Amino acid sequence: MTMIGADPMLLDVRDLSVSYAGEHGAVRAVDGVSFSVHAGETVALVGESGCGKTSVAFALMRVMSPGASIGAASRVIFEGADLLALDERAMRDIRGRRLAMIFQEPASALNPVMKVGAQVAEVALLHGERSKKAAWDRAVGMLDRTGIANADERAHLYPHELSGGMRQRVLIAMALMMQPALVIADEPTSALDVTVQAQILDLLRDLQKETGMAVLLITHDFGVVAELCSRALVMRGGKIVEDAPVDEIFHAPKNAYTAGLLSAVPRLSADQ
Amino acid sequence: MKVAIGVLLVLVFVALAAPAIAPHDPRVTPESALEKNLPPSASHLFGTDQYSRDVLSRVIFGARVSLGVAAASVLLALTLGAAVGAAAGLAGGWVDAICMRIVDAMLSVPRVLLLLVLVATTGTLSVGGIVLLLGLTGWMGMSRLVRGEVRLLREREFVMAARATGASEWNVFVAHILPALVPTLLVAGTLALASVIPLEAGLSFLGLGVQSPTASWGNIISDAGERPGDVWWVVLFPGLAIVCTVLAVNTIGERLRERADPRQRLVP
Repeated sequence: MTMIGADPMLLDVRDLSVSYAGEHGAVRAVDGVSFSVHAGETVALVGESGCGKTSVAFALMRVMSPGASIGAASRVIFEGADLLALDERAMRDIRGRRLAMIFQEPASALNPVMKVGAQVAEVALLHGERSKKAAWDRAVGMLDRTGIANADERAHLYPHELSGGMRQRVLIAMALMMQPALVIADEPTSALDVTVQAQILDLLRDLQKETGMAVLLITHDFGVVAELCSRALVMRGGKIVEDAPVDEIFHAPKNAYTAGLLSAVPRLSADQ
Repeated sequence: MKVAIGVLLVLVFVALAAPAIAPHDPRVTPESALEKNLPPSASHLFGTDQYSRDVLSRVIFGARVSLGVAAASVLLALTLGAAVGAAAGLAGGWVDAICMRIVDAMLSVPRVLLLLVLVATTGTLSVGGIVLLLGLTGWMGMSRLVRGEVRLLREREFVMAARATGASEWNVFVAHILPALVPTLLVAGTLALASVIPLEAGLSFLGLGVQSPTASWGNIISDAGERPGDVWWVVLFPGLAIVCTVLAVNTIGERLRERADPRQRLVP
């Protein structure tokens, strides 16, 4: 993998567009989005449902649903290479190893009829690990690091035997197995209880400190943004309307839409 | 269900152990030449047919052929159906379109008719030929099932998640799609078994399937000759064998289907 000297730039997205073929012509879900993420940084991608956040994530991973296409002018420079120009084999090598994703719905993002340990181990097997035994041991170690107690026993369980928070930890273990440089977390806490949400956010923060990975956190929850991120991109209707440090966004939003989104967040006290 | 499994196990055992348990030679033997069309008795429990052959022994040896042909042809149909269905479902586009049109075309002709035409053009067949024929005309429904299942599975989020960890389409197929197809194939195969047994019996009865002197349940019945009412034992016993087998296999298939119901798929 080529790194550009000491340049801390990890991901540079230029003019990213995604359209979906619809019955009445193509629909543009993402419309000329540009942003960058530096190594080790935590950036939030915020916006309401349907604004194109998840489409951005899938486009970065190049895991597209049928009928979706990326605009010809789009560039996604990750660790010095344009991901959109790579062939499928080279892209597969990057997926899961350098660039990983945590899915929104822990209930459906795990195979219901496969042991969770095997699903985590599979990631190692896909990226060069030859011994099944070693992959399994690494999976158990990873599950342990995500805070699953008795990981060696729980690795033998099936997803439906775990709680929602536990399943999300499994997904995080899958994503972090190969120590990626960037993790895209697509609403990692939306499907969870509030108390579990806090635990998962803490876990993400701890793991980030340990590994120095960068996180692109996709969310509609400003509470999560304030908790975890240093910078936020506010998205609306397929475009980025504001890109600023989180402090600035909370105290002096430049964009009227950002201000509107913020005012929609319930507060405990009015004088904040 | 237990009865059905029991019946099937007994039949399979009978088929496997045929030479050991059959009381007589199922083929014509000189010394039995005078024992034509005997009704059931102590020495011939199921009676004898017009060639003086012991019907019980023929039913026992017939189990070998009938069950063997059915099992082999279903296995062939399953393999073909799974391969075509998976290819169509995975590739999509024109591959899918061509495969499914072939399936539609073959399904538009009733299977019995298709078989009759094929036998008429090829002439009488060996047992292997019949397996081939039944297999080649039985895979279409299965390929449709498999294709549907594959297409459904491909869009599941855990498949997307697997791709996002660097799995290739082949990895996804082996790790996530193939194992999920097993229950479907098991159910489809069992039910197909129940339909292919009377089909083979029918063909053999008409003289188009397994040829005498090799015994199959179908051609034993046809050995009753022109007045089957006079030699009811030649018709009844192989007929009962067919009915019992089909009932047993069908019961097992239905039970398996209930268990593999997609709505309960989440529980492994």
